[in-house]
Amino acid sequence: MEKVIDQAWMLLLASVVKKRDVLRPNLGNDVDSYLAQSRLLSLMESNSTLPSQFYQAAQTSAQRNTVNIVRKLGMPADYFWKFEYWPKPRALTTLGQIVNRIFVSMMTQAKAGNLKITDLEIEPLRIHVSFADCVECSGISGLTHGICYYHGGTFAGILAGLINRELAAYETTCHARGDESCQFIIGDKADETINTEHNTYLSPPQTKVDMGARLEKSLSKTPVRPLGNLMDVNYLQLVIANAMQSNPQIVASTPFEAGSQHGHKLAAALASFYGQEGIQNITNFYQQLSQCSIEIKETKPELQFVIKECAESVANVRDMEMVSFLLGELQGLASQVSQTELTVKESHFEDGNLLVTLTPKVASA
Amino acid sequence: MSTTRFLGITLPLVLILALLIFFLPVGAASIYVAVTQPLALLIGSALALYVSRLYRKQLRAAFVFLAAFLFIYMLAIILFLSPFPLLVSSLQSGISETGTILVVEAIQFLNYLILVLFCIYLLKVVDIKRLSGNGWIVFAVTCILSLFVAIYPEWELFKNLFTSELPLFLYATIRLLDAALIIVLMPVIWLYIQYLKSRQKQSMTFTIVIAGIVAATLLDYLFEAVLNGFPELLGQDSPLRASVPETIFVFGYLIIAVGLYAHRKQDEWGFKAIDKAMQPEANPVEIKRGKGH
Repeated sequence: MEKVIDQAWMLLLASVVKKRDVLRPNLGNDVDSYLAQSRLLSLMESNSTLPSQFYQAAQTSAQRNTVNIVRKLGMPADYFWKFEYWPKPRALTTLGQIVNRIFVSMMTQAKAGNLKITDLEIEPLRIHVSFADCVECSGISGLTHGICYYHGGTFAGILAGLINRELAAYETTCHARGDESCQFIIGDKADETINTEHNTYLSPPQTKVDMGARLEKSLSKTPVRPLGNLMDVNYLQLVIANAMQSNPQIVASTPFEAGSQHGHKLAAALASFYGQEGIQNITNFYQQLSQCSIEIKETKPELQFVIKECAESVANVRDMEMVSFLLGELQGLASQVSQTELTVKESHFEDGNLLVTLTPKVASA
Repeated sequence: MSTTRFLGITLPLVLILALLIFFLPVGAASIYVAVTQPLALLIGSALALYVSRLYRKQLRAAFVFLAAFLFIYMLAIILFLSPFPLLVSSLQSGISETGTILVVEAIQFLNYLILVLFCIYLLKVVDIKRLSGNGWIVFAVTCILSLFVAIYPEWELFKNLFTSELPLFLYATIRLLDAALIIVLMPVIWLYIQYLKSRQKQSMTFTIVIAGIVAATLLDYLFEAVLNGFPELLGQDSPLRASVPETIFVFGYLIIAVGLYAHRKQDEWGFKAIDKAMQPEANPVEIKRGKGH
């Protein structure tokens, strides 16, 4: 999974410094932000430890990739030497400049949101980060706590990679709480105040989000943020790959199971939106959100799906773990739509397409 | 411009400027030394003062003390130590020669105390406890070597240190302070070498500044110790007896100035490098797309 993450980081960097390759000839390089949100929130609903694991995976991978990126770009390794002795104006200006030039560019290009370091104190270290139009939570409402664990971890990782210190972040405001922007405070991990706030942040109350209402906004093309509803497909890969880094031994529900539960709920929302029931809703849904294009062959009692230009597998990512949520979602969705409890009989990549066969549970038994 | 490129150009240039002393006629070499040494110190002092503004607390204090040391040393050279000292004849007409020596040594002593303060503040910033096993060995060898080169050529003086007159006592103390300086600064250089391949990089430019101070101090004492041990190497009236130390000092002071300049420009050059690499089609990033994970 680390390889997938590192490749996605490098592709995002390349999208800024080079003319962008078209990763999917028909669906393009963007996908709807609902896809990332539905995956994360579904996993979060079924696994209370996910925020912590997801945050940690995001921070570790961001820190590793930040070090690699700044090295590739020619920044001296001692650039932030003795950062703890820098006066505030120098620290704020220099760190802001570097973050702007590299990471803000990448996130803007990826349509992830508008990142800005708004303030900074050196002693004790407090870096205030604002992230407006956050792709992780825009369009979600009614929560009492922040849910941007991926971005909290990513920002802490980026800054830790730059100034070479062990940092931790927590979110103070979030679009999902009705705030204007997502804001984070990042400080030394060893700092007691930071550590307490960080731990509280990563142990949120049970998260229940009305994903049906959120989905309707995407399907009806109602903008959930000024940047629009789309995000870069590499960014989606990053989010998913980091979520998949969770330790499967301690999660209550695997991504496949969480996807399956989500798929069951999704069917009703799609029927309500499209005003009809039927297998066609599945192809329409995935096509409309630019997730993938699907050809369905009904060879009763089985259903065969040929999934083309799948968002999770762009740039030659052929990892079944990456598509495990999608497979679960497809199983749940198709079961609900066909009124038959289906199960994934077989799935594999062939000629860049993902081939999935669903079969009735009874038949497979 | 990048730091490594700048240093790649300037460090050989510094060497050439220092070695030039050997190739100039004696008179011209004296003028050259009389101009180059204080000029390098003045530039170094101004740069150290500028660099001090880039930091807070102990690190700022360290650079302020370095600036003060370089400035006072520049004044000392212009007034007393250069081939054409401005104040020595005036002093000698007013007070005795011993008195003049005492004044000069007192100023030098005061200046070294400032340098010791620089070292004290530096030690508060540099985490010397992170020295590796080899680092401590180098540290021990440095202690022995520094004390040896400071004491050995003046062994007779040190034997009777507490009964000697004040000018001689000050002279001996300055030599010991020089040794202490090398002992304190060598770990900074070793820490840089130790972390060369690690992410916890020490500052290259700062290490060069320290290396300049160490070079100016240690190499001169080494030369003195070598001549003391092997007097037959150079005749008593050989011009090299004067020009080698002058070369060492010019080299050391210029290195300090170059290191401080690069340190000052690091923010700007680093950002420009990134900005250039981030320009579309600058193409610094080789993306190897996987054939499947």
